[in-house]
Amino acid sequence: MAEINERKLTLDIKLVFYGPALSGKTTNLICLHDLLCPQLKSEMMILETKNDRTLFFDLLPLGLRTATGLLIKVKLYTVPGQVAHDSTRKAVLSRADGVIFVADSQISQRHNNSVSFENLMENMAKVGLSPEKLPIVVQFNKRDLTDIISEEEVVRLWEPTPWEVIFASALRRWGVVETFKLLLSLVYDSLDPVFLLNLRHQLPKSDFEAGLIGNFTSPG
Amino acid sequence: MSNAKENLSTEVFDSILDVPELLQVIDKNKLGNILDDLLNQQYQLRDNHGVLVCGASELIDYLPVSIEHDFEEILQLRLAKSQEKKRNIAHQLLEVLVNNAIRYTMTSRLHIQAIKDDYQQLAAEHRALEISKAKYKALSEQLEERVQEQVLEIQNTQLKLYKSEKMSAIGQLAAGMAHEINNPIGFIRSNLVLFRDYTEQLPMLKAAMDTGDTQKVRQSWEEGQLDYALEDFPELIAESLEGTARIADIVSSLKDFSNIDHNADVEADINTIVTTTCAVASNIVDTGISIVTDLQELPEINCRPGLIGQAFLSLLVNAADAVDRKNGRIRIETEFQDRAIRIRVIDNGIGILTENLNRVTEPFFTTKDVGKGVGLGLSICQDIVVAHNGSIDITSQPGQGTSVQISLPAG
Repeated sequence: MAEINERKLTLDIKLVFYGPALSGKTTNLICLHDLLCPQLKSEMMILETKNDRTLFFDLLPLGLRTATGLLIKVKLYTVPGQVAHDSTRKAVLSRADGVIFVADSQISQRHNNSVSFENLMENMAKVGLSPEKLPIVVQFNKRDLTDIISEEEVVRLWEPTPWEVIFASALRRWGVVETFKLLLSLVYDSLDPVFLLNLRHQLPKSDFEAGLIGNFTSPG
Repeated sequence: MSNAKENLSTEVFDSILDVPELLQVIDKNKLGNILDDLLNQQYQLRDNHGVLVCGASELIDYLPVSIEHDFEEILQLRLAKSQEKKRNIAHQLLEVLVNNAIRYTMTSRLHIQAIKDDYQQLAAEHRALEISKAKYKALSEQLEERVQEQVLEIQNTQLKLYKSEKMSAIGQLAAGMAHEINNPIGFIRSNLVLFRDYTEQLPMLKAAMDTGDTQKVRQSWEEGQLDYALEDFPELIAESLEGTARIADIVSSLKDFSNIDHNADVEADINTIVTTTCAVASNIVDTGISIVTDLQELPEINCRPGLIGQAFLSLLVNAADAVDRKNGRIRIETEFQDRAIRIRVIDNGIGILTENLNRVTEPFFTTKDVGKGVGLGLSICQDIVVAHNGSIDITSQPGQGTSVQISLPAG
């Protein structure tokens, strides 16, 4: 959970990219690293093995300073998607303030998607995160491929759930910032009542989003 | 629960990095040497608490270079003006160092956290397994107990059946005996009745004799049909005596048979046991069956005659059951050869099917009709022979007959 360090005047926000193995979580992060122009951006930490498999996590730190001097650090993490690394996944997920679930659109990956989403729910329960309260955005990645589940079907399947779905191709760099922006909006809504970002720190949602995304216009 | 939360806040891999902890990862001596060389010892490196990490102890005029982590200063390099040119290279060097240290620290923390978690999961699984193991162990112990109970029950039942088999043999024997004894008793009794009838005439004859009248005496003699009596008497007496002799014979063989039923080891002649047993068996074997014996001279052996008799009797009964009731033949042979006594019972009965030959000595194996035995005869027979260190060989031709040979060590 995010908390304000009153002495240092910092607020740490943790956002996690979750999803099955090879669904494009790290690619999402690299894409954000390249496309975002936040107030503050630190070096990206990638801990990939040679097979493009994330072993521990990837980390992209973003930051912005409010007019009142509060330093907001937003840390974007990816989890390792492979089933075997469940304990690592759970540790990365713990104390998250928002989750982007990166699903693989390929028809062959439907089962892996649902297994991974169930795993997300299980691990959230284990680390004390409630699916009703935690902001979650679902991204159907790899829309540039051909053998993929149709948008209609995805919408039909996810409509009954409380989670919004965004279509993306991280490789082609579209849909990624939109996903991130949607999550930021949800996260702002969940944190503002607690930390009085607007009231106390003069940070309206638009500034929050702009400060972390920067000058970005969606291509097309 | 509160403990778990405490652990969570202090041990999670991405909790705020403390600079002293971070610097532990970096070899401060080597770093100092490198920076000393690079910056001609005209610098100071301080952490974010202001503590000197390495460099000159005093530095008056300096340029501050900030090394940041998470948008916050983590180290400050104070650079003497003379070293200003090396500002960028020094900054880059320290940034690489710090980034690697952070990377190392975060991954190792995460690794430890994951391993601890895995361990806890394994420990929980282990506990669950231990519990189920204990459950199965208890169950298996109970099973052992139950199996032992059942074994005991089966043993008891077997014992009862062994006894009942013995009792039924005795019962069969007793029934045969009763029949054989009843026959002579029947005719002896009717002879005696006849005798009594004749002797009842004697008082009348005496009264006639007392009158002294020969005519009356003769009349009384004739009325009493005493001429017939005189004729009958020797025959009646001879017949009755023969009957009592037969009864005496039966009783005597039975006595012998019961006498040898002492389960003590004694020196005994097998031929005597065979003869006695044959005598007993002849009473229960159908008269149409001929029993022929060919007994050769045998040395006495140390044995339990009662048991040998019982074993031999069951062979005899089996043979009698196998042969035709009207013209069956049973041949009994004994011989002494190669320091062993052999007793053979050979019949011309129905024989044993090849597939049954190996099973005939199994307890409770029987092909006889219900009520004719529970299938313990040969089994007990084998037990007895084995107890005497002997062996049983059975050869049989279905439809031709069976030969059973008991071999007992002797001499």
